[in-house]
Amino acid sequence: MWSEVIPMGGNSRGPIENSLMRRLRIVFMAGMASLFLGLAVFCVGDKKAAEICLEEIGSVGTLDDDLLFQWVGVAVDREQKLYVTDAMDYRLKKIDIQGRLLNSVGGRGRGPGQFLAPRNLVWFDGRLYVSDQYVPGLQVFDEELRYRRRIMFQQPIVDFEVISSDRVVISSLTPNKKPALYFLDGSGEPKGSLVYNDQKVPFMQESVSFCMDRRGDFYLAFSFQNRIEKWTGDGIFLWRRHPLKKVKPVRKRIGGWEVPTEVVLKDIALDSRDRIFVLGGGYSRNRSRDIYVYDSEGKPCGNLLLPEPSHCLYIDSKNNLYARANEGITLKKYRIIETSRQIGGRRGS
Amino acid sequence: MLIGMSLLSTAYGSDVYGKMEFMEGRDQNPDGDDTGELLLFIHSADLMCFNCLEGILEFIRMLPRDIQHARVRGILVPRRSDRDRYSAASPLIQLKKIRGFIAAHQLCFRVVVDSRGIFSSFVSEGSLLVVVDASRGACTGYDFPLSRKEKQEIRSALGLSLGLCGRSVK
Repeated sequence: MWSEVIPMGGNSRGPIENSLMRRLRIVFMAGMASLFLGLAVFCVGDKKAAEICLEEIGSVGTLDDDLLFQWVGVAVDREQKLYVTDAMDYRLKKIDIQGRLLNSVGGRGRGPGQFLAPRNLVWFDGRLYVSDQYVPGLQVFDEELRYRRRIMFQQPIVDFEVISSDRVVISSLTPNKKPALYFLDGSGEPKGSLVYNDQKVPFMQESVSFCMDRRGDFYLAFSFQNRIEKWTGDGIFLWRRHPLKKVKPVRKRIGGWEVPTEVVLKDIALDSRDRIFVLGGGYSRNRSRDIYVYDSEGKPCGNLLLPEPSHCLYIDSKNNLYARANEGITLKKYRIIETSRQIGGRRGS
Repeated sequence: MLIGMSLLSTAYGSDVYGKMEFMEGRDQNPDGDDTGELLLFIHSADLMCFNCLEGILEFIRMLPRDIQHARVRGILVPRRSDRDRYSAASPLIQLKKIRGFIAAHQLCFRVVVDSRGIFSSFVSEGSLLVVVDASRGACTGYDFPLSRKEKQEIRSALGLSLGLCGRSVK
């Protein structure tokens, strides 16, 4: 445009006119620049970025009481009553909103209602499903903690979800088999599998924690790899992400096995908006405290930082996040808060 | 007993949490005989290790409750990482955990926490049982799990043999 107004190479107008045009050009350019910058500030300043943070709203278990000694699994029912497994005293415990113990069952053993190493816990439709590291299968209890039955599964259970009263999904450590999630009915009969790797891989390499959304899609967090994946319930791969930067997990030879030495991703959980929360492990900048948040399409939504290391994450139906504190004698409850931030430095909510 | 006492005297006080009754009352054995005492150094990692724990519990189960109460003392030695982190609260955390452990297994002996890791070298390869045999003026250390011969040695040092119903017989 300017080349049309001011002839290049040849000055056909007089000196006063050229000087005026030069000034006008400068003014015009300055005006255009100001207009552009003003628009940019208006547009960018009007953009809001969502920020997620945690607000502690409660805790259960103190140094002085005898409520929790080494809690491992946690679940919440419709009335916000808490259920935890405790590995130190081999018990399943029910706790009310005020943090008072309502009931407790268990004891060390392999019999019905007993535990050797109680682990994960899922509440579903009035029933509690509990895994044990050294006893095969899942034990099922009612909300009064009465033992109901066992769902048999011979392989070690890493993680599990309950889809219906007659369907559970399990991730397991199964050497010499393709890594898969296994679908079982209420009696433990296999009803299918979701193979997430076609290759047989070294032992434990493809161990996963997982969760499932309302559409029946699965989100996998690989325990010993820097990788999360989303799969449909029909076994279609959707996407993969790498929460950490430049991680090379170390393996070590023990006996005849080469095994990983450190957990990369410890757990995965979904909130009611289908946002994915992934708890980092030993390779995270803040060991076992960093949480990587994604939306259901795999887009990063930000990071969270727990005040203390945790071994797991749990999010209830009201978007409260639960994590460990005091090395397992305290259970902390956090509200997940979303704030919007003006890009350009202005903050709002 | 003297050797056992001198070992623990360095740990007595604020670095060791829990009950130390056997330090206060030397005459745990009013008859004055020279039967042995057992010091059980428990590595905290073993509390969460099924196989490790099984060996320790098997040993405890073989001792009558009155013998546990009179002659066994436990020292919980936390892992180094547990001691380094949250140093102010960690001994209290370990004390609480051992409280749960004692209740879960209905143990009849006291356990203290070695919060500074004074005895960490004792448990470098796992929990350790030390038998202080005053009659022979000797200390003997045993790893878990115990062999049959080692169990007999320990019973002998305690000055007892087990009757048919498993109750102490002197």
